[in-house]
Amino acid sequence: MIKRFRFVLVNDLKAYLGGRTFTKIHLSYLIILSLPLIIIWPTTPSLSFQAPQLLLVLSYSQIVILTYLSGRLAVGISLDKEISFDDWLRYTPLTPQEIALGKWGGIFLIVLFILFSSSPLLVLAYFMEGATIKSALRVYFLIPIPIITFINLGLFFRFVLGSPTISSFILNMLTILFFLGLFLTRTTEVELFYLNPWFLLSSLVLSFFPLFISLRKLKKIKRGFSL
Amino acid sequence: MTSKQWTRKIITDLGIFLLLMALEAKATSPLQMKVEIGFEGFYRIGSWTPLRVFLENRGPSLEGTLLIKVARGNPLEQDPTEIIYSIPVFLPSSSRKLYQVNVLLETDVYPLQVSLISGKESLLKKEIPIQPFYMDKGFILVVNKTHAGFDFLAQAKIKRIRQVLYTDPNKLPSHWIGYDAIQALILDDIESLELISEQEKAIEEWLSIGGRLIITAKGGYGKFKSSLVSHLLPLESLEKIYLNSSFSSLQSRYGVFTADFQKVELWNSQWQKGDVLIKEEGIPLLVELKVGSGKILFLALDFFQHPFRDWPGKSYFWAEILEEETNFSMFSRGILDPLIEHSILWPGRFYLGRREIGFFLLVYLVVIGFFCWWLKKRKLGWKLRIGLSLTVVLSALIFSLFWGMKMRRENTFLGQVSIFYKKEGGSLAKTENYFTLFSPYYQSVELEFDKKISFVTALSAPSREREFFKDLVVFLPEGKIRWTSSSDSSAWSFHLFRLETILPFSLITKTTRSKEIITVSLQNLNSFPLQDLFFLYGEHSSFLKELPAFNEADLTLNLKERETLPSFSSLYNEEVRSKDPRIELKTKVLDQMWNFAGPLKNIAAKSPVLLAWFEENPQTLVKSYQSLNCAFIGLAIIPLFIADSV
Repeated sequence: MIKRFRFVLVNDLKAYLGGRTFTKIHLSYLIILSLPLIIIWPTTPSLSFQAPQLLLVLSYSQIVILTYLSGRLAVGISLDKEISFDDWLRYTPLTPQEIALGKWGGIFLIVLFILFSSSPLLVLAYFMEGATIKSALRVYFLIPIPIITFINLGLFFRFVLGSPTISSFILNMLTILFFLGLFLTRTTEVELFYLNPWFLLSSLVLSFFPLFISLRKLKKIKRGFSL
Repeated sequence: MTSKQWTRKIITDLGIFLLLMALEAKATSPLQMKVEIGFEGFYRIGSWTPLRVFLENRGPSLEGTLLIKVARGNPLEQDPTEIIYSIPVFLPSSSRKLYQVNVLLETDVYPLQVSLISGKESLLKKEIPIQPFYMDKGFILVVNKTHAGFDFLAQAKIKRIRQVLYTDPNKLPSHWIGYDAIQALILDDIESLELISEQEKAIEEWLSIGGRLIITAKGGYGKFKSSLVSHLLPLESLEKIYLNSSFSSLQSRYGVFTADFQKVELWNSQWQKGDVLIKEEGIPLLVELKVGSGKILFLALDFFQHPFRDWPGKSYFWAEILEEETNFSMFSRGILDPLIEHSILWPGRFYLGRREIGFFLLVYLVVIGFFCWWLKKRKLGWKLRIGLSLTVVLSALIFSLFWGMKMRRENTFLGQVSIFYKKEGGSLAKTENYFTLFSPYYQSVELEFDKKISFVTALSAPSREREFFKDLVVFLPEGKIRWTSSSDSSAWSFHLFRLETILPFSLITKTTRSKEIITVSLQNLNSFPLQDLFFLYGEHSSFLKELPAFNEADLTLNLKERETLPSFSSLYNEEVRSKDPRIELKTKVLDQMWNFAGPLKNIAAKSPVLLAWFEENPQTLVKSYQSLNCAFIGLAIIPLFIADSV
């Protein structure tokens, strides 16, 4: 039965890809990442200039942009063909879990696509900086963690609070707190680009609790619609 | 006793008890380390020196690493470059082991550090201050039982002050480089010479590149039947005889005896080959045998018996034996260090500039934007849209990967400048190879070399490129060089190192002189393709740019024609030099050897010298798991011996 979540997922993907908003977000993201790449890129073929921080800057830009973007998409950016939660609950036999999973999957896949579209830039930075493939991959396995965390939190605020303005405000505050936490708990391990995996993992685990709480609320609403 | 007295007594007793405990603990420390450097504690700054580390473990078995740290560099200019020799150590319970390594001591400023570590814990550490033993001449190393008898060689009476050192056969180095500071090795009164195969090979290799071995008459038959001596000496027969003679051959050359004549015990020998330099009544007293570029001298009589013991001529006799010929030691080790350290021999970094990268990103953004617009307009199925979008991203990704790999490949550069010191006669050449490694890899680079015959040391960082220079060089026991850095900030790295080894050199030279014309015949040119050739002698020189495509060639020098030696920069005109960086480099190398350090000038003043460039690497000395862009330039320096004088 849970497989029915794909209806929500496909619908959301279509809505994202078909909308102008997504194109704007996507291009803005690539432009923002291109800027440090061009600015930091070495100018002359001389030994006295290199760009050791290039991949670090790009990775952090990605974490910041994609984490914020995931939260914003989860809270709800108005898309042309997106079917809202209420409508899914009201007019379809889908369970709240299926709807949440579909919405969650849609956002996660679209953010992953954006992340993937920046891979040529990262590859350029990777080769110029000379980081090991192992350390680069370790960081790129960590990047989806804040994305998932903020999708969870965004969905929670969307389900619980309903109002996008308040949800967005709280989410923005949380994003700032998250980045502060990321900075304060940074490690000395260069290979991890100073990311603290324990901080990321604990924030991920914690973010699932509000999501489960909001699912209970959705169940109640669904029961109300059924009656 | 009063309570006060009791308290005092208890405190005193307790103190004594604790002191005894501490002494006991020190005495029974389960790990002990003893370090011996050089021969009898002597070594020569600027030479490779054998280091022997004895480890004793009375505790549980232990696995660890022995680290020998040497530092080099000018303390006034920069932080030292640290070179670490790393040896894995396994010490079973109640065991004693000896570890040997050759280290190059280039300065007395920094102490030598020897430490034993296990995991991250330092178990033992010793710091050995380096004494300022700066000496012009090499040591004379004597192997005998008494560790005495040759001190007269060190006296000023025979003009040169020499340092005579004594050792036992089992302490002889097991690598040719261990004899770096040794001018002559004397095998004296030893009954037998039981050496391990590495020690024998080391002596043979050292001889082939110019070492001098003197075998005295002292010692029994066992000495001459040992595998090393029997292999080195082509003896037909050897027997002990007594000779009642005036030894006029010796007296006429070195002075009269002060003691009465007696019967003298000596070895009567017959030789398959070898030059008899002095003989008495048909019995060879001093025989010289050429082995590669080196020589063996056989002394048939014992100079410690009458009438030789107090003979003043003994010193002059030995002085003649030990007289140095045209020697490569005139070229100080690391003669090209200043050149390599200050003008980096690399072709420059290859990568796209900011403009090209900006253009690529612009194209990528435009394509992505256009695609989104076009896909929206065409109202295609969403799966097709995702597929097409992924294709665009994948194409850009493939381009980036292709370009990145190309950039890494082209930037991993290993430049090599080698100097081949070759004497006439030998088939081996001693080489000093200067390497410049440039790598865009973040992690430490690892290079592999033949640890049996090759020895590596690091050079100091060029001051303006310090940020690229990874200053900690680790030599691993399996013959690997690894660089690490205390600061991991820089990914692109730049390394300088010097490798000394012995290599086969098949070029054969024969020099003849007819009146004022000196001719050098070169053979085996095809097996060792030479390029530019210089023939120098005194104030005369000839320069041959193109060699004929034959296996043999002749090069002549007319001493009648008064030619002043050229400045090497004038040999290639400015236009050629600016076009070809190799020629620029060749000019700099020659200038360095000729003008600044000067040994080439001195050698050319004494005997004809042949200098030959070659650009094909005769043997790969260092290997890497990563593909390397290699550039090689070699210079052979061959002092020539004029065979026939008409």
